Formats: sequence, C-alpha cells, structure tokens
Amino acid sequence: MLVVGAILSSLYSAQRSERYASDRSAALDEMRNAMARFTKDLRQADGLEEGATSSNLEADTYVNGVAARVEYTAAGGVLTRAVNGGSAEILINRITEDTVFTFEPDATSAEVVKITLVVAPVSSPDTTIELYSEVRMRNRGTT
Amino acid sequence: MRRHPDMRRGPGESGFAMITSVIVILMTAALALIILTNGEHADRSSQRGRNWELAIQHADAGVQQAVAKLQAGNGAVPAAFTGTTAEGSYSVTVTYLGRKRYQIDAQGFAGTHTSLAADRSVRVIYGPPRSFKYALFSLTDIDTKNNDTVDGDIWANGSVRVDQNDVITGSVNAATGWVFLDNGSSIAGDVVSGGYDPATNRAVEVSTGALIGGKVTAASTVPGCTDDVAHSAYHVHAIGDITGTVKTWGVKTGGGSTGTVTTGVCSAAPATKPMPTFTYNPANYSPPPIEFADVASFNAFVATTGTNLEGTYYVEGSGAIDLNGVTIAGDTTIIAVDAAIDAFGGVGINAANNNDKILVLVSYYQPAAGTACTNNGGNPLDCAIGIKNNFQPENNTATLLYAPNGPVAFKNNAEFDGAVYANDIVLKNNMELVYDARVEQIIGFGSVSLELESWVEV
Repeated sequence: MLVVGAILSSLYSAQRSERYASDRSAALDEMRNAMARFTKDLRQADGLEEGATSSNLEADTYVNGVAARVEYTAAGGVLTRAVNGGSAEILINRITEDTVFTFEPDATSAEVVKITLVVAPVSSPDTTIELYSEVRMRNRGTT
Repeated sequence: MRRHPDMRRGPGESGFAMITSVIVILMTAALALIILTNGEHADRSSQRGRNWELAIQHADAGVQQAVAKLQAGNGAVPAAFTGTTAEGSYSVTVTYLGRKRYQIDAQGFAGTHTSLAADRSVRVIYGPPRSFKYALFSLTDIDTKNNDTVDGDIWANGSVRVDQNDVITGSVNAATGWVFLDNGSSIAGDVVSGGYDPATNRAVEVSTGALIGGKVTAASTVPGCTDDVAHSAYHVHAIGDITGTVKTWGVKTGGGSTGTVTTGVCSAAPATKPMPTFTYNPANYSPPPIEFADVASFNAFVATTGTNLEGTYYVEGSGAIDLNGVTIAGDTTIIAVDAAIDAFGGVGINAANNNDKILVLVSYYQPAAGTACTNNGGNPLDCAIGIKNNFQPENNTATLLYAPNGPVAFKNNAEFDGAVYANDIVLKNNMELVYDARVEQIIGFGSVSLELESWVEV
C-alpha cells in the first residue's frame, strides 16, 4: 500500500505539473494570436487617432486589404478589438495589467507602438507570462 | 491432494498487484504522452510563430530589393525576381502604374516543414511625394479680384484678400498675416490668421454680406501674444457672418453673427510652409526631355508645334517664353530655368483634346528689384508666369503652375483645374480654379524622387 500510495502521489504531482504546463501553453498560444493580430493591424496603420492611451487606441489601417478603423481596448483584464465601430471581439482574457500600450516618441506623434501583454494562466494564477512586441506604422505620414 | 501454496489465498486478492501495476503503468504512459504532446505543441507553435514573423520580414526584404532595382535602373520596371536568405525567401513583381508610380507585390516565405511554414504577402505602392495639396499656395500674399471661384484650400505665408463675391469652398490659412473678406464673398471652411493688419488691428475681417462657414482662429506668431499685452490687436471684425466658433487674443467687433466667441486666448500660429523643391533630372521623364539653350529656340519650336504640345521641355536662358495660343495634347512639362512664362496674346492656353493629361509650368524667373507684377492695365509683366486672358487648359487637363521666385498673375477668364504654387499670386476677375488631385504627386517635386505611398498586407 505504501508503494501504491507513493506512486499515486507522484502521479498526482505529475498531473498537476502537466495542467500547469498545458495551461501556460494555451495562454501563450492565445497571446501569440493576439500579438499577431495587433502587429498586423498596427504595421499597416497610417497613425493613431487623437487620444490614444496606454489602454486604448484607434488607428486607420487595412483589414484584409480594405481600409478600416480598428480600436484596441484593454479593460478589466480583457483585451478587445473592434473594427469600424462594430462589436468588440475578445482577443485575450486574464491580462494582469490594463496598461498595455506605450508609444515612441509619444502618443500624439507616435511612430512606434509597443505592446506588453502579461497574462496569469488559470491553473497557475501565482505565475505570469509576459509577451512583448513593437511595431512601426508603415503608412504613417502617407496620407 | 495438496494445493499449491499460491492457491491458498482468497480469490479476491488474486492478481491485484499485476492489475495495479498495469493501471499505474498506463496512467504514467498516458501522462508521459500528454507531456510529450504538449511539449511538441509548444515547439511547433513557437516555430510557427517564428516563421510567421520571418515571412513578413522576407516580404519586406523583397520590397527593398525592388526599390533598389528601381533606383539602379532610373525607374525602369524590373522583371519579376526572387531572392533567398539563410532563413527564407521572397518573390517580387513590380507593376508600373503610370506617372512614376509603382506597385510592388512581394511574397515572403519562411520554414521548410509544410505544417510549420508561413508565407505572407504585401502590396506596396511608391510614387512621387505628395507635394501639392492646396489650390493656391503663396510664399507671401494672395490677392484675388472680384467673382473668383476657388474650389480647394488656400495657404499663404503672408495675408489673404478675398475680393467681392469670391467663393472659396475650402479653408484659408494666412500663416503670418491677416484675412480680409470683401462684400459678398465667402469661405466655406475654417480661417486661420497668424498676424493682423496694422492699419486696422484686425486679424480677420468679414465685410457686409460675406460669410465664413467654418471656425475662425486669430492666432499669433508671437508666443504668448506678448507683442500685444493690452489686447488692442488680433481683432475679429465681422459685419458679415461666421458660422463656426471664433477664438481670438483680441475682441470680436461688428454686428455680424458668429458661433461661440472666445476672446483673450492666445493661439499659436501655424508654422510657415516652404515651397516644395524641384529637382530636374532628365532620367525622370519618358520620352526624354528636349533641352533648349535659349528661349528664342524654344519659342520657335512652339510656334511650329504648339497646337499639339506634349512632352518635357527644359529651357535655359533669360527672356520670356510665349505660350499664347498653345494647345496641350498630352502630359506636358515646361521648365524655364531663368525665363518668365507668358501668354499675352489674349488667346491663352487651351487643351487639344479631352484625354487625361497634366500640364506643368515651372519658372524660376525672379523679377528685378523695384518691378511689380500687376494685373491692372495691359500685360501682366514682370511675373514669373503671366497669362493675360483665357488661360483655359480644361478638358481633362490638370495644371500645376510653379514659380518659387516670382509671382503668378492671371488676367481675365482663367479657368482651370489644378494648383498654383508661387512666391506671390495675383488674380483678376472671373478666375475659376478647381483643385485637381492629379497634381498632388509629380515627379521631380519634393525631397526625394519616390516615397512610400501605401503599405498593405494582402
């Protein structure tokens, strides 16, 4: 019985580790997708609309090759994306900070937009995953 | 008969250890499998993400390679090409869009494993810089005469006078001067001034029956408006009406109606704008330009071929190029290095057909000190570009008049689409100018030959 108990304990521990790893992997996938969408949108933008903040920005860009305005909002631990004023689509949940955007040189004359996503996976809330990217707006100043 | 010792145990315990072992082994194996699967998934998604980013970088590399080929070939369209790096590859096609605009379609590839490989495509357009956005642009002042119509925006580094019954459909900006609207005139857009008329202390004046459809900002070129501590200037005087808000360091006078008025507010005047530069490069033109060493030779050429003029002409020497009676048949550029460009005969300049075409007149003529380009009396002499009557190159012709050193003057009945960029602009009655975006990008104008127009991932 001792041997069986030890084995089951090990299995339980391994299963917990697996849940942890699996959840981190899922969170990372979600973050990668959000990051890919964001960088693709902003790379094609011609600049930011007035009033961009660390948790909200709007930009005129292209979606599937068609001119469109996108809005990204980080609020309540959720990052959303809306196209042409439509309903907001959730890109990622459980971001630990809503201040995700920074700008170079500043929000009013931004040439580069940086995004930092910090997510706490469900199964390991005491740990976080951080993903960072920055994008230069290629169409800035072309209109 | 004696029973085997193992047979003496109760039937409930038979094979328990084996079953337990098998279950543990199965669970361990399943767990290991899941762990391996997750590990592999992490590896694959990481590799896929890496290839995704590499693919766009390779597409961009292909675009830059195409730009390099265009530069090396003086704008000749390169054949479709491919390229390879240690991390991936790209394939590129360049398409000529006309008037020195190029579309570059580039596809980038990264990764070798089918399920992990990524490819992304971009469509990039390069063209001449957007240099001409205003219908009228003056380094100094703009003076209109009665009944002129300007469909577009106006920028003057100095002051703007909108004469009786003139109609401006765009905005007006007088960066360091003032704006005067005479009786019955109108400006549909916003008005911004940067100074004031020292004779009246007024920054913006709206006469009887005149109208400004947008908002008015009487700004100052002096930070903090410290040149007028007593608020005795920068007034907005409206006998006519202003639909939008009024913001001024001075006060609002006159009985005309306005939107909300805010006085005592110092707004910073917009910075003056420089004239777009022009660089003559024969390689920019196809067919190649015809160059003339003196004005007389070009005038003789025009006398024989001017009824269907097209092409690029570079004219050296001083004097006056005479375009009276010329008709434009296709894209035409005339560059006068020192000479003025005139049409005094009264016939003017017209279009030979209704084909899509652009007429560009460039004159670097600088009037002698003490002379004045005028629209009164006879011919508009001493102007960089002076057209007496009937400047009417219409019929699908977009016209750019460019005179960075001297004034451009029209006498009666100038009707054309395009823009006028000059050191000074003097107009007479009944001019009708409609801004035409075809002149916004013209090769040779701007700080570079080609610049990015749009970058789209498709």
